[in-house]
Order: sequence, then structure tokens, then C-alpha cells
Amino acid sequence: MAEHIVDLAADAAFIELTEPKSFFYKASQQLFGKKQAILGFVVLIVLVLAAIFAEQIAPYDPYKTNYANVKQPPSAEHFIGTDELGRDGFSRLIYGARISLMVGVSVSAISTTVGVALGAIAGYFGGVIDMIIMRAVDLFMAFPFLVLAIALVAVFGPSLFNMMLALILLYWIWFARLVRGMVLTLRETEFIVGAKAAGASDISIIFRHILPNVFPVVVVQGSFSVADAILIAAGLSYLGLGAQPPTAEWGSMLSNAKELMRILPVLSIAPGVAIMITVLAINFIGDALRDALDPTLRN
Amino acid sequence: MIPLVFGVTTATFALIHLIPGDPVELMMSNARQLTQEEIHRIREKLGLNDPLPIQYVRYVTNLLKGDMGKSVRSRSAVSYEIMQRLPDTVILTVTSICLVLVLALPIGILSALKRGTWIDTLAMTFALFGVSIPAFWFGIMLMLIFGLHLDWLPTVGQGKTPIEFARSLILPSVTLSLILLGLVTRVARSSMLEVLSLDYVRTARAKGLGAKWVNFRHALPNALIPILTVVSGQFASLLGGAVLIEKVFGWPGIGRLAVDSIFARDYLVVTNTVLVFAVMVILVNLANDILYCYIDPRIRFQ
Repeated sequence: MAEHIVDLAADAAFIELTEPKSFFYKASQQLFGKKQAILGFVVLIVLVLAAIFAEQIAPYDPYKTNYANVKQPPSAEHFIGTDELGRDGFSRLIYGARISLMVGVSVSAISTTVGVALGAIAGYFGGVIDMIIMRAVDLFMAFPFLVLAIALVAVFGPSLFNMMLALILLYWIWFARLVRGMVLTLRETEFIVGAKAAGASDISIIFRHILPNVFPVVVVQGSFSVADAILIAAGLSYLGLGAQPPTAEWGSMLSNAKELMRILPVLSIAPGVAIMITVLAINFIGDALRDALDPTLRN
Repeated sequence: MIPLVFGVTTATFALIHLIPGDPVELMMSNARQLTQEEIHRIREKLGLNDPLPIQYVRYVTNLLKGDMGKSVRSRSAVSYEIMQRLPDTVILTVTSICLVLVLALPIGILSALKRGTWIDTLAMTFALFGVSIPAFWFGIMLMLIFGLHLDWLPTVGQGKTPIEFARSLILPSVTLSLILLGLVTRVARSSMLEVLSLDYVRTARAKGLGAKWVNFRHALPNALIPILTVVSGQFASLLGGAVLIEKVFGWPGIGRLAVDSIFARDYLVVTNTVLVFAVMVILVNLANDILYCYIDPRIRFQ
């Protein structure tokens, strides 16, 4: 997460300010003209479909225990075997896509919205709001992200919802900081000064001039943060601080598979591969979005 | 730095008071039911009935004296519990940082020098996987391969003798290094590329110096500065990762202590571990600022 933001603060000043009509056309052309991006999109669409139609695709009920059929090795009936309660690993894997994508997208979407709003306000108006937000940013940066997430979950109590809440509370700060920095530079540019001189209100300047210029960078960062949130959520669930058993979630499946590592290693391998493929696909899309939306890298 | 330490202690203090449930009941969770009067007496004794500002001042003065309160689980001092396990976390993270530098620097610099070749592509693919693989799962895979399948290395716990200790350190530290490996490789490459395009490097080439001399004597020292910034800036994420990796490998550091304490409802240990983590991050950033002055004379003379 941090690495993307480091180089983006610098990019902020170079955002394309001209040719608004052909911009997204060009961007989308660049986006779909790349093999990696297409691969990322295809994989992500498959994952999203699997998540939506999990009931139809999964061969078994992911929560149905079957004591006559426990710890089965991979076979034609059970692609990656069954766990210690006889639940089908493959079905649980498909349902796991649901939770990971839901967590990644909702954490990213909510924290982006909050962060952009507060960052824009802080950067544009300055003053007390700006000071409070920046002090909060400094403070949060002093803690390791995962440690703070763990501490917040400890306060709220371990559950999937509380984990998402903790992640949102930590993520918006990144976006607020990013957007604030960009708005600070934008505020001084001639077209904003011009709009102000022409009598545009603050609200209209923020919505019509500032946010559209912040948008491309936020989209790129937002897509990376989906991948990041999925990784962190899996880690927290592995620790037992996120999704609680018996929920079919990749991180908690990995923690559950630990007992069976010796006899059924495939149960430890598959959820990790699923996380990796998801994160890779999203990172491919993020990289492609960056190339497409960032004019400094174009041509 | 001082306001930051102040902010961090305030945050952990707030964390202690945000935790739901009465601290006395949490403390006595294993003991018999207490009467209302007894609870009141204990609260009075612990100073929990005082106004928050007074409690805060007491909290900070106690911290300065090294008193972090008592662990509910082990009945020993929290500071003792943490100091007991802190060295293990430090050893693990320092070994990982060394591994990151030893691996990522050469790969990143090589791919910058061989820009556009298959070496570059391979290195960048490697870096992309590095940031996309969940590190704790990578650890589980290493466990499966080198611990269970090949039986070369111990999978869980920490060895007692120096040799056993070193052997048990290998898998956790390699796993932890994955967290920064991809990022540092990318930064090393882009930082080297940037320096190579500067005028003074071209001048050095133009006056006929050998490629090796130019690359390693002229370009490399300047390319190292941004890499140092990233490594120290990412120290926090390494520590965060250590929490997970310690849990995976049963490594007895403070990260595992924190996670285990959450489930034991031993909240004083949790909040104080968080504080220790933050202090470590602040100290590393301070050390980094000092180190800069030695590496880069331009900063020293400013």
C-alpha cells in the first residue's frame, strides 16, 4: 500500500488536465490493449461469477458436515479433498471467494470515499480540520498497520464485521493523506485560481475541478487497496481475528488446515493459491489502470 | 519525535479505556464472583475511580518507571513478559532485513543494468509475485516443503542450542523477508535507473571510465539513498508481518504474545505490546534520520 502512495504524491502534480473528452477513450484503449490487463480482467470476472453463483457452482454445501467422509484425499468427487469434519474443500473454496471479494471491495470503497472526502476538505480549506487529520495521520503511521488492526479488533471483539470496521478505520487515512497532498498542489494551479476569480463557489470548485483531477489517481490506488485489503483480511482471519469458524473463508481455512498438513497438504495449498490468484489479478488491473490513467508513463 | 511519543502513549491509553467490560472483572475473570463492595475496593486501590486525566498522568509516570501493570494470565509484570520476548522479535526482523538487502539489492540493480532483457522481465515478475503472495501462506508452503516433505529444517518453535536456534530461524526469517522483497527489488531497480540517467553519470562515461567503475562507484552510492528510505519506512510493515509469521511458526516473539493475549483477554499485555511496536518504529525512523547524515554529506552540510 505505502509504496504506491509514495510515488503517487509526486504524480499528483502531473495529472492530465487537458483533452477531457478523449481521455477515458484513450485510457480504455490502453487498458484493453494489454495482455496482462486482459488476463487480470478475465480472472477477476471468473472469480466474481464464482462468488455470485457459488450456490449453483459449488458441488456440495460448504457447511454440511459428513462424518462418514472425513479427511478424504483429492478425488473426482472432492477435487481438493474433505476436511476433518467431512466438508468439501472445493465448495468451501468457492464460497471463500465471496467473502474475500466482499471484504476487499467494501473496505476499499468505503475507506476511499471517506478518505477522498476528508482529504479534499482538509487540503482545500486547511485550518483546524487539516491539522486534526494530519496529526491523526502522523499518529497512525507510527504504528505497524497490522498491529493496529489487531489492537482494534481486540477492542471491538473478533468477528468478520469488526475486522472490516477496523480496516476501514485504518485505510481511509491513506486516502485522506494522498488526496490532501494532491489538492494542496491543485489549489494553487491557474485553472483553479481562474475558476475562483470567475466567481465559482467552493463546492463547485471541489466537485467540478478538483475531484475530477484527483479521480484517476484514486481509482488506481483504490484498486491496489482492494488487493492489499484481501491479503490483510486473510492474515487476520488466519489469526482467528476475522471470519470466525465455520465460515468458509480462505484465511481461516488455512488456519484450519494446519492440523491436517501432514496427511492433506492440498488443503493448505489451495486457499493460498486462491488468494494469490485473486491478488495477482487485481494487481495486474491496478498496474494497467496506472499505465492507462497516468500520463507521465504514457508513450 | 517527542509529540509523537506523547501521541502514541495517549493512543494506547485510549485503547485501554476503549476495551469493553470492567477492568476489574476482566482481571478477576478466573477467580470467584466478587461482591459489589469488593469490586469497589479493588477499583479504589487501583485508582480506577480517579478522573481520567489523573489516571493518564499515573499511566505515563508508571511507564517511565518501566511499570506496565500485571498480566492476568501469568500474574507476572507485563514489562517482564515483553522484555523476555522482545529479543526474539528483534532477531527475527533484523535477520529478515539482512536477507531482503542481500537478495533485493543485487536483483534490482542487475535488472536496472540489464533493462529490457529477459533478466529484467524475470526479476520484475519475481517482484510482482513477491507483493501478491500472502507471506504467512508462503511460510506454510516452506514448512510443507522443507519441514515436512524434505525434513531438512524444524517447522515450529525455537531451537535451544545456537545451531538449533539458527536452523529454526531460517524458515521464519525467509518468510518474513518476502514482505519487503518485491517492493525493495522494484525500488532498487527504479532508483538505479534514475541515477543512471543523470548528467554526472553520463559525464563519467564520457570521460572514458569503465562501465563497472561508473555503475558501482558513481551511480550506486546515490541510488542507495531512496532504497534506505523505503526499507526504514517499511520497517513498520515488517513488524506487522512478524506478528503473523511468529504465529505461523510458533516463534516466541512479542507478536505472538499479543495475539495469544487477545484470546486470553489479557488486554494490558495487548496494549503495551502495541506501544512497544510503535516505539520500535519511531526509534528506527530516528536512526534512519541520523544514518542519512553519514551517508549523504549534502544533508549534513545543510
